[in-house]
Amino acid sequence: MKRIFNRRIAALFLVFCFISVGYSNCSNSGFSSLANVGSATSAAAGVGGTSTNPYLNQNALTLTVGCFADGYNQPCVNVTICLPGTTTCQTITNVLVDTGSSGLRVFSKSLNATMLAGLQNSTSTGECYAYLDGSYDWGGIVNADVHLGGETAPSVPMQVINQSFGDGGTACVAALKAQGMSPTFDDSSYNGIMGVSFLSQDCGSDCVSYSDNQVYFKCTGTSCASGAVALASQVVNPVALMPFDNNGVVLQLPSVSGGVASYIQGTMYLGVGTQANNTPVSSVATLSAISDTGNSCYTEFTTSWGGSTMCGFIDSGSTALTFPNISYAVDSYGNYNPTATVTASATNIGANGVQSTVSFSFASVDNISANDLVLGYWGVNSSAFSSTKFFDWGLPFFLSRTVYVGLEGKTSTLDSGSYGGLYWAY
Amino acid sequence: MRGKHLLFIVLFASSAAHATLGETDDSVSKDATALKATGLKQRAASVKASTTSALAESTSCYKATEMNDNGVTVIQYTDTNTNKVFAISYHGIRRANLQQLMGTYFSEYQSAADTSTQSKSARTKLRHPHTVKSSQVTVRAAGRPRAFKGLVTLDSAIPKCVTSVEDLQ
Repeated sequence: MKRIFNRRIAALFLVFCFISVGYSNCSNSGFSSLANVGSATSAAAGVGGTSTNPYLNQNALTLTVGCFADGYNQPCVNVTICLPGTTTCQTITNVLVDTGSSGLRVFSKSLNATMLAGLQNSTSTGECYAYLDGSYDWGGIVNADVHLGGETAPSVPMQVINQSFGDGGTACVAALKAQGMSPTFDDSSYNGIMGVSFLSQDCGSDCVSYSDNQVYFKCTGTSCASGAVALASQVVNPVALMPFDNNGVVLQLPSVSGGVASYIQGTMYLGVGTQANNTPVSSVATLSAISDTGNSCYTEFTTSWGGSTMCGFIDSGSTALTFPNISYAVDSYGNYNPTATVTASATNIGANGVQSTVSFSFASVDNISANDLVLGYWGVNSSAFSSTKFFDWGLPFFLSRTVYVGLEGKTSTLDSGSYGGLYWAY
Repeated sequence: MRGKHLLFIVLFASSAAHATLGETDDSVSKDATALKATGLKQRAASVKASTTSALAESTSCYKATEMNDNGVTVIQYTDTNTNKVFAISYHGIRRANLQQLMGTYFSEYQSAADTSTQSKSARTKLRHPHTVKSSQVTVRAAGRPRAFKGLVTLDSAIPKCVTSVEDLQ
């Protein structure tokens, strides 16, 4: 179905190319931005009948690492949310940008009284969004207009993380305990988290099909039970609902001299190849993710490291490079602790067969100043806590790089449709 | 109503034990009933190989049964000689209901998980794959929201033909 849709809008794309001015990718890459154009075309009537992307250079957000105390290697942006269709808004600072999850979540404690009162949960839908470590976000689903840079996604389903919502998380915690987790309410230092993973919704079709999905809950007063939620009402990567520049994101961070800094700033761009500032250079390697749900590396690629092949993934929400040990010294926390900086390399292999060898360095982080929140050489030994080998390219991977992340069901200059939007490029 | 049903199981699991790990084959269908799972079916003898290495072709010593627990695919592996479940793997939108699937071994795992060193790291939240090993079972968890996966093994019961348990999936 997706491919049929893409073909249908391909014709529109060609028209768009001919009449648009300043659109950077029409001439050199064929059907390069179908999804964006699909939206652009439909949105054109609302912006005065012109097909030109009206958001040139408004798709950029300042991306900061070192935004708050103890926020080691946590990249943040500011996000402005508004009551739908109004100018009643609040700018949320220090929102973690996470390429490993989907959707916007803001802590209720970070919202002002006007927003708290105005963001109504009309359907009494709650969500139990759990991470692997047992931390979980419980709270109601609301709709808000989400402003990123100069662009706005209207009425985006998002979560207000609030431990007292509905039954106070009782049903959520019970479900997580049955799953073998030790649930702890996520009480992070940041004000919110914005998941910009290539998976669009945070649950997908299974939460439409199964009322007992144990992710979404329907609450009546202080009683909550698992319930089905339509795709359009699920928490979603807000970029997917932007009228333009909606086919992924680009994260760009500078290099860090000596591997350590207190604070750095880069840029997060909306869209991939939709305007000049987010257009990939020709040398990028595009690695598609494995889309077979039964594969042990689903939504990941494979990485060859130390003579083994394992699942690998790129995750801005992971604070370190995490990989199995070969023969390096490790401290009592599981951090690599070599006497001198080690430089090594591993090879990522996309589902599409594209291979990319990445050089990386790691060094001791034991004597780092508490003021240094950017740790470019931070490596963590996964063998200390996992018998399953994996390679997590966390935040240090993003330094001195431009990383492109696709979006489910959207095409771009890097993916004409065969990857389904599930790719990373760098 | 389904949610309430599961909550009931959660709260009273000890008295409603349809334990499966280490139990005989027929406990699998009891799990399916307790979890209100659908699509219960025998899988083909060959099991999908993971990326690490192809699973030895000697899958004749076990059989795999698959069910869908409301968005989570659960596969139980039974030793065809002993007729006992020796491993469970899953993938899906959340982690599998290990309390149901691990039966009497769940409490042993919980105790081990609580004392696990996985949260020792001072500067990072470990949203990474991790392994919790207790005296009899090994529980591996990985993935992220919408794409969780895991593997539970009753280590002493793994038949010899399984050369790499991590390839069970």
